[in-house]
Amino acid sequence: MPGSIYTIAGPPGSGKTILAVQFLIEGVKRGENVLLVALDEHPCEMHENLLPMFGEDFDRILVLDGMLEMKSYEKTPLRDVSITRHAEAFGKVFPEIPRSSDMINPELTVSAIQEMIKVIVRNESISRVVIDSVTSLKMFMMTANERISFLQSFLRFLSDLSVTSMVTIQESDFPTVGATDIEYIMSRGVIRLYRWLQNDGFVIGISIDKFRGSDHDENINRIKITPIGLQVLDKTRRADRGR
Amino acid sequence: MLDGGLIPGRTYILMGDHGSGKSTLCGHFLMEGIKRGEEVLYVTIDAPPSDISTSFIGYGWDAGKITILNAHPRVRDYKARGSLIEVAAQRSVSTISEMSDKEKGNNQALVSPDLSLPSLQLMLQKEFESKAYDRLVIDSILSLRMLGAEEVQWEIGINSIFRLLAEEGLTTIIVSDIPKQYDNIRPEFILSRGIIRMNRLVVAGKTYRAISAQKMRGSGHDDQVRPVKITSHGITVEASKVLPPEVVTQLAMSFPKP
Repeated sequence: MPGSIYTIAGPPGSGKTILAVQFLIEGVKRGENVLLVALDEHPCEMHENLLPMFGEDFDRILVLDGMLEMKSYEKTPLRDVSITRHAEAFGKVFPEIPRSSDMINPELTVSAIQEMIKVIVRNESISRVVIDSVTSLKMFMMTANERISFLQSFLRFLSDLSVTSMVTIQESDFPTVGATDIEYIMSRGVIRLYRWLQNDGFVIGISIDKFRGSDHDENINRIKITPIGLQVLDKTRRADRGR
Repeated sequence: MLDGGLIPGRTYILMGDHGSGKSTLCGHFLMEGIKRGEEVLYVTIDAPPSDISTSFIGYGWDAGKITILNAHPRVRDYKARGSLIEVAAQRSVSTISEMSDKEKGNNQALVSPDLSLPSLQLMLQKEFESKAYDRLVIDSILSLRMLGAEEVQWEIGINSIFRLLAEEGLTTIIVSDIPKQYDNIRPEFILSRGIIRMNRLVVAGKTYRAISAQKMRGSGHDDQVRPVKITSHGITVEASKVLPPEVVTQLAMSFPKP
């Protein structure tokens, strides 16, 4: 639904990125233009990891590299990074991580990223956006207070873009029950992923914690990361994705 | 267990309890590189290099070709503090075969700057200028994190080091402790391409060691927790065995079903 934000939260290795990409692939299949903002994993590694899973549809996702470069720990004049970066299709991503700029350290800021997203969404008629992860974006802000107000304004910014967006949230291995973080309040839907030890093997599960305006299953369903993406194991019903 | 192992050029986190076999596993990883004719570097922060070399040689490994970078925080003299650049200049690199006991005694003589992520980055950059490495171990970042700067500084420092390692194309294992139950997610876990966990448990007076893979981007892995055995040749993952149920029960308390 345009203007809505959906949240995927879960610990490392639970499949957040895969689920978010499935949401974009769904759009690609319907002929939509979609954008992924990569903040945790460099686009070239994502391409290597996920192309085998999603095939050529994956190459049609536009990706914006939002990774911070290396710090030189020397005082250099700031330069806005938006001059040097632009979104391109996964199929055109250079296979190696680029070197950090030598002399001038381009400072990547949240406002630069926001500006880039805005321009890309407008110019490429984007209808779906994934921010992977909003936790890393939060780390651009220096203080706890800044982080809260930033998130509020960033999610509002996403909503104003009139696209359907999905943001991922990195959690520790011990998810806090009943979290009231701003991400949850401002999301139309919250999908949670879990990872626990059952017998002597790790398993993952999914639950829909909140889904405004639609009836949903609140139980935790087992899922599995397969070579073709996340699959729900329980026969009950498919996890709601790609809406 | 890792279904093809670590992907070259990527950085992995190895988290574990004390005495679970982390350093030994890192030793195996570096020795494997040496067997293939690669250049390998071991950055030791928490343990003196002589301890590391003694244990590696004790396993009967021909560890002479492992280059050791001693980033052990010096004994503090509570006087002048060096700047970051000075720390970087003080790095002492040697191979295990060149190393002698003199490494141990000369700490007092030097100015004792604090080691931080920025100074570690500068040390590594300097070292990479002098030699191209294929494999790297940083053992461990625990004291850096405990002694170190505020959370924000830590995030920035971690981001920067991960970027350096990716740009240099090194396959790296960074050793870490296991976070406590209510810790926030750490940036090094977010940025790592995979997380391996080693546990040491005592159940009914008997010690057990276990290993599992938590996140492995771009490669399949075993979902099971496997027993680990320490032998005179290092450690062995008993990939076809399972842990006794009482050990699994204790381990499962850290990963409860929601």
